[in-house]
Amino acid sequence: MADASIQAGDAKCVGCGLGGSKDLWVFAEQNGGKIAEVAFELLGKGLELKSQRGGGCRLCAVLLGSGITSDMTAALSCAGADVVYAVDDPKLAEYEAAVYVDAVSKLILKHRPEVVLAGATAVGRAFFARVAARVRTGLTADCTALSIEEAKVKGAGAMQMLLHQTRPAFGGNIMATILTPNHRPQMATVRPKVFKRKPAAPGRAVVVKEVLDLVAPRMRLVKAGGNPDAVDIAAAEVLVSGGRGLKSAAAFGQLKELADLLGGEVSASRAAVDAGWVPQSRQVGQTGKSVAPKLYLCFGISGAIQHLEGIRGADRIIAVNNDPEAPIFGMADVGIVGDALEIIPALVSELKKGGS
Amino acid sequence: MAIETDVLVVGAGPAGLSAAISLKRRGYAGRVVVVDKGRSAGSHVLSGAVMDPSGFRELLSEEEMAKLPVAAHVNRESFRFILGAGMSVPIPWVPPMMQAKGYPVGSLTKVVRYLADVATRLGAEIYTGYAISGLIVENGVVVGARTGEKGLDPAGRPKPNHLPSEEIRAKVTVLAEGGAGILTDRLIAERGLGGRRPQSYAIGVKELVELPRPVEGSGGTIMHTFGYPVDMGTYGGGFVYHVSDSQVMVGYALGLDYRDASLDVHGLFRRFKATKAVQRHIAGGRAVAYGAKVIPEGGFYAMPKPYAPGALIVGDGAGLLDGLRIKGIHIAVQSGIAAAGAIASGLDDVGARYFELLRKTPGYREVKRVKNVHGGFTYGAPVGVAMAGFAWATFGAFPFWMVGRRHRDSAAMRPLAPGGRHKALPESGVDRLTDVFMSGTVHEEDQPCHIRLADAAKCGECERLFGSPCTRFCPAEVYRREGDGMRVDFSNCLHCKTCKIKCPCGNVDWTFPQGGDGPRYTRM
Amino acid sequence: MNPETNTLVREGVESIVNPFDEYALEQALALKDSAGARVTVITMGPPQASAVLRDALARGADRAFLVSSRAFGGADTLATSYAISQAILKAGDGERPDLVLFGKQAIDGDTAQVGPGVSEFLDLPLVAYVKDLNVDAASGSFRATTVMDDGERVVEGPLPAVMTVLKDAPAPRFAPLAGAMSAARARIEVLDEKAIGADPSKIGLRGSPTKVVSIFPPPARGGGRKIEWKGDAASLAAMVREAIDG
Repeated sequence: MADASIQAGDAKCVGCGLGGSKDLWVFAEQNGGKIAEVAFELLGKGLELKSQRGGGCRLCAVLLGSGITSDMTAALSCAGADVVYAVDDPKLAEYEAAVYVDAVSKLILKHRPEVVLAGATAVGRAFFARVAARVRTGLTADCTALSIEEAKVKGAGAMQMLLHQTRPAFGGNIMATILTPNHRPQMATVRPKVFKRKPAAPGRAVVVKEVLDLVAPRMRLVKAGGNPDAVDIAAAEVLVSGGRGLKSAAAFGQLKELADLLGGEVSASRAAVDAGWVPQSRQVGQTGKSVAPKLYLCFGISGAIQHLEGIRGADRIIAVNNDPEAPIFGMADVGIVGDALEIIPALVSELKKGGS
Repeated sequence: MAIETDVLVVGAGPAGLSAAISLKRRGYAGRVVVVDKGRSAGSHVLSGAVMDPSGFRELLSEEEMAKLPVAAHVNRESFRFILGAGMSVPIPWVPPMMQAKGYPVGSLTKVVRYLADVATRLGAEIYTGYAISGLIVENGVVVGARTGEKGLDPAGRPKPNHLPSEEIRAKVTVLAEGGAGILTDRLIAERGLGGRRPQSYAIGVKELVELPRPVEGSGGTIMHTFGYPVDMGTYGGGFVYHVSDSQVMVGYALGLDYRDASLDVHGLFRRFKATKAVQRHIAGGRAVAYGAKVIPEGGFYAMPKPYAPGALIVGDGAGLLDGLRIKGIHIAVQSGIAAAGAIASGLDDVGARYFELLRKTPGYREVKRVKNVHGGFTYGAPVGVAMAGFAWATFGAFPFWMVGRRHRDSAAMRPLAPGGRHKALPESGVDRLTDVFMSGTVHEEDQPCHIRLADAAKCGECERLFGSPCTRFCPAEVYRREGDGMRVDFSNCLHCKTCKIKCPCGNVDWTFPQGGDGPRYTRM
Repeated sequence: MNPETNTLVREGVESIVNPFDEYALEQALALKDSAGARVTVITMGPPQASAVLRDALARGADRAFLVSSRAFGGADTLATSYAISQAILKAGDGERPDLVLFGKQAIDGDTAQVGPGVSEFLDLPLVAYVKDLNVDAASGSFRATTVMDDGERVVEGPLPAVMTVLKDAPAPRFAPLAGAMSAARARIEVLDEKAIGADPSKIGLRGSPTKVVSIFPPPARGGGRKIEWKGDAASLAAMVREAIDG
């Protein structure tokens, strides 16, 4: 592509025109044949949005990969998709932004959906933003609420049914509702666990096998694999946090067990990091990290103001502390006055019983 | 390769910036570099403040004066003697020397930010976020200074992003560090520059309170109090300044020559706020900022000789505070102007010439006139007040001898009496730790602790004798007793230096954390 | 041979340095140290934002541009990405740089969209969430460790490329005082919409497909219920599960 000024040929500029279908798309992220939970959560939300939109709107899933199985498409169907657009191509074997962007953009240009949603995962956030730029439309990231409602748009005649996209801004200090009135598709990403997955129901989705001439991947995956210390607690949906009240590194071992059962990560207050029970990468608050998990479950943390500032964005805070006057109780949604060292093992065995 | 400048000013407070502004306004062609350890101009500057405008009028043009970022001017002032949480009596007459009608009342932090702009526009260079950690002395002459290192781990080892110390060579160094400045105190000790008695300080803590609703016409109302919550033998007083119709500065200053080891600075502040006298002004309001700083109160007899070869001392560091009015900003400004005057006429004998100019300033003469005010309070408040009255009325002629204590603040503390009354008195406002958060103070966690306790054994002694008073006199919850020793949470530090001054065992070595760290005052 | 042709561009948007961008700048400066790259810093904002550029120059960046004009006001991420891409081309005299680095996201809008948006307008491959970066100037290729949701991945590929950088990357260096002094004297070029040759319909409010229609405070957070622990692990477990799944 020439490297001069930016071209905006009409062929690319879908965003400039309205018209096109009323369909609502959900990008179904998958890795190694396993579809990400967030895709099902979005399909669940998609069913709601579909009924809000009414009249001829179809809920479609977009699935990219190499060696797509019928189990995968069936799962999407049971989650509510009316149509599954499947692009099965060896170039999609490993995630590479350029190829994903190419595939999804081409699909959008071909079918002109009205709304496209994706999970705000590491994959979703990066390549999806590029799709929006390619298609010259608006994207709202990390939405915490979505709905389709009528809105009066300046300049347009009638009221339009628009996707209302709500997200926090300025570090969560305000909430903003955003519309994309004049460009299509209306695109949004949503963090995992914001919406709830609906129970599976028998599906009758039409699977459309799309064959696209995709660009070739240009990068080579040298090594893939986890690095347990390189955890980003800011990205965790569930944090199990410990403070000075845990009194020992051993107690943090128990916290790890609890975190694993809940699918979360261990974090800590500065006191615990100072005491050497956890590495600094797990510190919340002050010069540690600000976190906004779905659940912040903390034990033996008194709640110094610096720590509280770091957890302000959490959806739900459940705090356990011996001291009924601990400041953490001023912010926790549920506070439990008791000995953390007693409660953690009790909770662990209870969760093991029930299966997590 | 060293950085070279003609004038190096250490500290971008009112004194330092006045020196820079005055130099450039006189057309001084040399390079003027001002360095401050705060993150940005004003970050470490705090005062009440009701400002005597005479200093600014001399420093600034009329146009600049008009743009001074102060919204209110004193229009109503009162004095109250507080008897207890409920009762206080107005002093019906404000002593003439303390009258401040028409004075700008507002945030010194904002004023300093403005002065920094003025200085920069006139051609001075200001660099913030760099701590000057030591002076360079050659053949007994101060020839410059060194910046502190950055990027050391808690054990003092260089981290990958280590920034070594940089040398600044200057023909003259102006020390404008404020009260209890580390370099200034070192220089005074090494060169024997001290006054007839050691410098004595008060610790001032304050909050900016936002009222729930503006109270029309309240801007410009000020009140000073004395009495409760301290007893007659302790030097302390409070203030309430309405800096606008919706914002009130409320603060308390405690003389650090206090004797009672059980005194808790923040606790006194909370008690002060709980009094009816104060609640009348701030009830329903919400504190939005907090800070603390020491005030040099020793007066004339505690003033050091303000120069050494190659270095001049201006502002609070030179003890230039009118101990009666508790005003020093205007004198700081005058001293900066005097320093600039001396430097602009050449570098020969610049110290002595500076001192000569300083002695001629109205501010200096003011300090001399009230030279025995602080000393008088050694004998308790009533005597102190009486003496102050005499001294002022006789233009400082009487008493003509030095009155009062000669020892350091740290030596004043008496051992804790066993048992002791612990009456619970009404308090108001947030706890100390929450207030600390509102100072905005931030320190890089992964660095050496900048507060060193020289001898751990002394802390054990102190716990027995005085009950670890640092846990009470620090306005920022840096010190905590943990097991057999002390725990130092340096990241809470407000750089006020109270601990260095008041530790009864002289055990505190206050050094510089990484430049840029510390409080972030924006409207104090 | 000294690969003088390498140009890196680091992006920042705010009047304080966006913490993530400090890490991107550090990556760029590390490449200057190891491969002799020329580091150009661009920020978009009001005139005060030049302070951020001076800080970058003080740390070692070679050139700085401030993209500033009323016309850019109200831009969403698409319009911002377009404007910045145009500015990057202008800064490179029409040539694309070898590497464009962004911090992962800005702390105000925190959308993390501008990096990807710019990669699209410049038509350069995108590598997101880089923790560790090695560049082989001779072969014009890179090797980057990226952090995805399920762990780290090491990828190799050709330059030029656009990357977004994480805070796990090497800690940012400090600006020496001497650096701050020369940065204070440096010239920062200000680029307005004409200077970057921007199409007026693509910038500012006009060029923004998304529109904020309302702003409201988030629900207030106060303390909730306080319960004495009496051994009821079952209800605690239920509460926890409900918080996660609910």
